[in-house]
Amino acid sequence: MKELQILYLYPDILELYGDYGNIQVLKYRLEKRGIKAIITPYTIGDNAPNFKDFDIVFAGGGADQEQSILAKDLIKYKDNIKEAIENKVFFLLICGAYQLFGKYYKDVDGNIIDGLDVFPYYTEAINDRKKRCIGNIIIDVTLNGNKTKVIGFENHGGQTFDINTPFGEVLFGNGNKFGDTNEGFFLENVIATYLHRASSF
Amino acid sequence: MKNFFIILIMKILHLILKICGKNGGNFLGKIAYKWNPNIFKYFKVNAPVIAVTATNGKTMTNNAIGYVLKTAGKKVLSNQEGNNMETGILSTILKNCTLTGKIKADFLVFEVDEGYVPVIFKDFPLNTLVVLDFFRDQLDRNGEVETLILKINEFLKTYNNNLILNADDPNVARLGKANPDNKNVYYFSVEKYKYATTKQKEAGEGKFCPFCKTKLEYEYYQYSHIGKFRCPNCNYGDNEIYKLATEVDLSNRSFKVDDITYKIRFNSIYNIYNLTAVIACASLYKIDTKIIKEALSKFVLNNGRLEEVKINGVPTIINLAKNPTGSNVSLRILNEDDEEKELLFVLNDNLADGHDVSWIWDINFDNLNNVTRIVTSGTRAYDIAIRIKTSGFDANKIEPYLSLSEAVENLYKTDTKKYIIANYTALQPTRKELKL
Repeated sequence: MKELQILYLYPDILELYGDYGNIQVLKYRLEKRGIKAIITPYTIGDNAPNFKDFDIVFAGGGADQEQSILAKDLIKYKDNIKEAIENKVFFLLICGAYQLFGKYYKDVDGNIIDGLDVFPYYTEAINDRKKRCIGNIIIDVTLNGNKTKVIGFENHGGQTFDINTPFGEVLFGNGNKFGDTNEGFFLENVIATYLHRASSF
Repeated sequence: MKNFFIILIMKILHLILKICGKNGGNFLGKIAYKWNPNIFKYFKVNAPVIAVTATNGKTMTNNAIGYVLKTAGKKVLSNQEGNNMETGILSTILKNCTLTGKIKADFLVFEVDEGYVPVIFKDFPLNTLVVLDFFRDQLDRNGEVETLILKINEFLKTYNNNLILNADDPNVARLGKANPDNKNVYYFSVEKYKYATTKQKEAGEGKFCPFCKTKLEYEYYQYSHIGKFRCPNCNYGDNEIYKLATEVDLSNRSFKVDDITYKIRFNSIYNIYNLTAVIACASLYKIDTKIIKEALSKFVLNNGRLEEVKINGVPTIINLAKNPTGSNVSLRILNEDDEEKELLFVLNDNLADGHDVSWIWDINFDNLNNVTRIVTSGTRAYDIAIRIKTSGFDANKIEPYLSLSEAVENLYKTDTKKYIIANYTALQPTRKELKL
């Protein structure tokens, strides 16, 4: 039986918005296609994973406090991750994970959390805990040459700047910033998005 | 003077509502609060004020405390129906005070929304605050759990009265340190129960020590992140327990506190926690344990909190679940029951529910015990149906119906035992459909 190796990063920390659902759906759909999904979790304290050994790497979103704690751990694997991306390992990153792969994240109190600096974008939270991009969101995405709509729910205070290759075009909702036309980041084998519970239709 | 007139007008409005046969909900409070947001300062309270706050369990615990006090012959003023924001509590007070703002009762007992504890009690007296738990809930409305905890922690920094805290919830126990000068902090806890696990089985929070950020270690988990935890670095979690529940026996529906056996009407670990908090509260006010025991043996809530009924002769258990933990606890009870059963899950995404239904992916539907059919309904009937299908449950045995009446009709086509889980705005319409 064909197998797909999936690395599931920080399942006990980056799981605030039901993002574990992405893994569950992946596993379910792979199995329906006769492919076995082998899911390997990694969290703080585990043996270092070799990112190149996997077909897909997935990481979800988490609370600000927890994200800053794991950022310090993930940064250890910066070079390994960059190599894996060059080797065409597929990365799916939701919300907090999306932010962490950029240059930095500036939180609501002005503290800078260094990102992995894999990609040149950066994220800054608005100086007001109450101002967040929250709501249902629909975007137009082109996948494998086909245009498709993706619907999900966004909930982020962080505004992401300097995206040259967005994931999708916003039809309804905010996207990378308040009232943005672009959502997420998509470059070949990396999809990073703020959409929780994303489904295409 | 202004407040006198506000109350006078509210009393008149209340009378009009009564004549029209309407309850009014938090309508009176809404108007009064708009006129004067400082109105809470005006009331004259000569009785202890007890408040219960939490993500889950407020209504149950609020009602149970009120019931125990009433059994002890006390006159209790309470927001039993659950209107727990400033307008709801204000409405309850306005309906029961004199024109000069005097409240006549032996005890005031309120359930209070987590976000509103600081809002109400900056101006209104508070003698005992009971905090049961904090879970992720309506993240789009509440922001993160941490935000809520910090707000309450801030309020507690200058609070010196009774504080009853769940020692087994790291999100709650930490509040005991908000004001180190407060000598009136009491912890309640529950001994390891039959189905406790060494690994966390359901989604939860509070993984890191709030004081030194070290990962917390657990000896066991009772459910979600509730359990026996300790910080290996600063020893956070080591608290003196005021009331400890032992010998938890869910099949016989009993548990012990201080060598007294309490027989109760519920069979969920989650309720053992709530009722232990009730015992802690009643003990602080020196209520005779015989009376507490008698009250708890009878106490039951007939509004969708583990409500057990018969519909057309078919045993049906209904539970409200607004977030992953509530749903997971409901499914725990379902799985601890070996009988053949069918499940109805009603999921709405109205404003009060939270528009975001991502949380359903944190519900653990794996390995359901002897469930032969699942019906789904509510505005997001299809979302929950897909979520359940993805867990591996046979898709042919899942029936989604956007129409609640169709869902209920089809559910009762068989005589099999039913479990019904409904979220906040779905609960009362579901109960109405069941003719309850």
